[in-house]
Amino acid sequence: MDTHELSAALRAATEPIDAPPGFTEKVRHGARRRVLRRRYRVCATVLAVLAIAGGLTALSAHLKPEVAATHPDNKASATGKLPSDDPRLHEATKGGFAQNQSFHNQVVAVWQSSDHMPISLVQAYSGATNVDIGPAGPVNEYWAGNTPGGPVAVLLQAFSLRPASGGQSTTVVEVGLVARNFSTGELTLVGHATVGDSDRPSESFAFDIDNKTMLTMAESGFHVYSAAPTVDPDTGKVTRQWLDLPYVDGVAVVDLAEEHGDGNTVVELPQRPDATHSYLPSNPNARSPFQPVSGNDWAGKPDPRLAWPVQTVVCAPPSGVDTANLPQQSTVFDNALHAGGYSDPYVHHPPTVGTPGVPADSESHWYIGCRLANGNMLILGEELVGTIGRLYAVTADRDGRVVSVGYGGPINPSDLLPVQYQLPDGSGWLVAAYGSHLGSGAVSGNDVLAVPRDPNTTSVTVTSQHGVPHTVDLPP
Amino acid sequence: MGASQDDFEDFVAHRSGALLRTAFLLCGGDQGAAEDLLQDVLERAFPRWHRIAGPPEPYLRAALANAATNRWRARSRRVAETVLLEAHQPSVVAHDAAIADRDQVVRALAKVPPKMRAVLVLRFFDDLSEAQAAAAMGCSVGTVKSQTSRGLAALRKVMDGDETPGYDAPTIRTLVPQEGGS
Repeated sequence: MDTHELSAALRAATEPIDAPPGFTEKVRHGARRRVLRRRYRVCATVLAVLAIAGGLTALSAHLKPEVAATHPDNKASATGKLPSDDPRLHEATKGGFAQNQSFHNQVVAVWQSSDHMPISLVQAYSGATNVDIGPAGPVNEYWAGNTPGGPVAVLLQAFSLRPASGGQSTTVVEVGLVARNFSTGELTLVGHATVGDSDRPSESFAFDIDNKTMLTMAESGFHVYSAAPTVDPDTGKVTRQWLDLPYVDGVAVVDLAEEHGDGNTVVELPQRPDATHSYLPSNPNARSPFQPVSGNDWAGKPDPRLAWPVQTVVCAPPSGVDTANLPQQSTVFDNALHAGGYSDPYVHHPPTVGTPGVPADSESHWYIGCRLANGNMLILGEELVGTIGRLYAVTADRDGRVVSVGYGGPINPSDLLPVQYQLPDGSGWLVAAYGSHLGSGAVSGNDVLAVPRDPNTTSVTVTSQHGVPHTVDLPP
Repeated sequence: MGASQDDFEDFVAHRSGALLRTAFLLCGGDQGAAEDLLQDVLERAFPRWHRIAGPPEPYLRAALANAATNRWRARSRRVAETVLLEAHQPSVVAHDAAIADRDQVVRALAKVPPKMRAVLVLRFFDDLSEAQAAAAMGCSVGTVKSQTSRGLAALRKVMDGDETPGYDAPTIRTLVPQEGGS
């Protein structure tokens, strides 16, 4: 197939595709929601700045909020303009290392040598693809001090973006954190954000091993955090405890490891949520999780925390499988876990990217569907809660109504037979081991097995990908 | 904002179909994901609509490509279903070979890594030049060249019957009851 044939085939393949009815209306509503959300954040940011500034300046601004809010250079308006100035650009350094000139010189050198202007931001706010970027002012060390993750510094600087083709320039303020890379020991820019840009990472940074130390700026708008979800060992239900962010001198430093969390599990919110918060698939006010640190040698590979890297696996029960209903099974499973409080509403499975043998962009969700003797469907799946994959089984009737949710406990992906679930009707076990051959005999390539209830069947033969057979006893 | 809003809505009403086709390919043939992706990109574009220099469509196609390559960051719960059993069932005999070819192209595209796929879509579906694709993707022309070359090779490999463009082959997983099972 040459490139002309490829073009023709791609056009032919997309010919039947068209926007669904009501799509324009959905976009219109969504766009308006985003504008309102942005306005809300702008107000929150302005109020936070006022609160920090204090004294007569704050009082004056507070008495004339309409002036502060409409000044063209000091607000992120609904049109997407970002603040071009920030009081923190001019404030004296705070923190324990405020007087440490040597450290100051080091972190400024790191900042100036770092590429901290994402091309996507440049494109988004200039409307051009080629943009000249340059400092619009000196870099300011806003905060410097020691943390559980070592010495760090918060720096701010204004940058000017000018389309190469000419036109009006845009000034934005970048804030970033310089800390030691835990693997190299070198000071590096571990994170940065554009002030007032609600579409991109906020002013909160995680660093150290597993991102276990977090520094959040008061201007982020976050006031509470939850280091990690808690799972009830008996029921499998998931809860989170919320703590106030301990702001001092404009920053809050938290050692997430003290609360058994890290950057992959922490969530920050502007306010403590209701105890009965509902599932929010894209909680606009949440900050979570941080991107995996560069030291994660499994980035882009199968997530080792999950037992099964394949997106979706559906298996035929002995009586056959109703393939027409397979998509609904995963939906039933997900909805049952969310509605029942068995999943973390803030942090979801990281998808697998570039996983060998796995379609690109797929997520590490797998399901095993099995028809029970009474006609109900058992849907077995894995939910990553915190950093541990956990086994859940949803039983639904023929109409997809959830009958029960069972908890199979944490899954250890390194076990020979990591998935073992006793069927609720006592008819046997469902067992699975990704990539292995289960059962005896010459049949190969089967890594999911139904083990009927039989007093004589007390174990399963698991043949690993390397061809070594092992016998694994089933629980009594 | 009124005129800008009207202009935006007019654009969405008239050009969503075309953009959705690009998104469909960028998402490897997952129409639901493509609709989500396009909606997200359009919503993000709205507040800065009047600041987009020139025709908005190239800008949005670039935004789609970038969003698609970063799609793994999104915390979407949507799961594109993959029924691996299909590989165990008798193969479907297509009545129309052309339709089979179209599906094959999309399926093959889905197996190519996201960035490589985006480059292929921009180059051979949206007809962007190498320089234009590089500008859209925020990378060098050299990167576009290499990604195009590798992407085409991977695509051909998959379409020639090798399901894995340089990867380990996936195992077909089926449930096999033990002898004497119910």
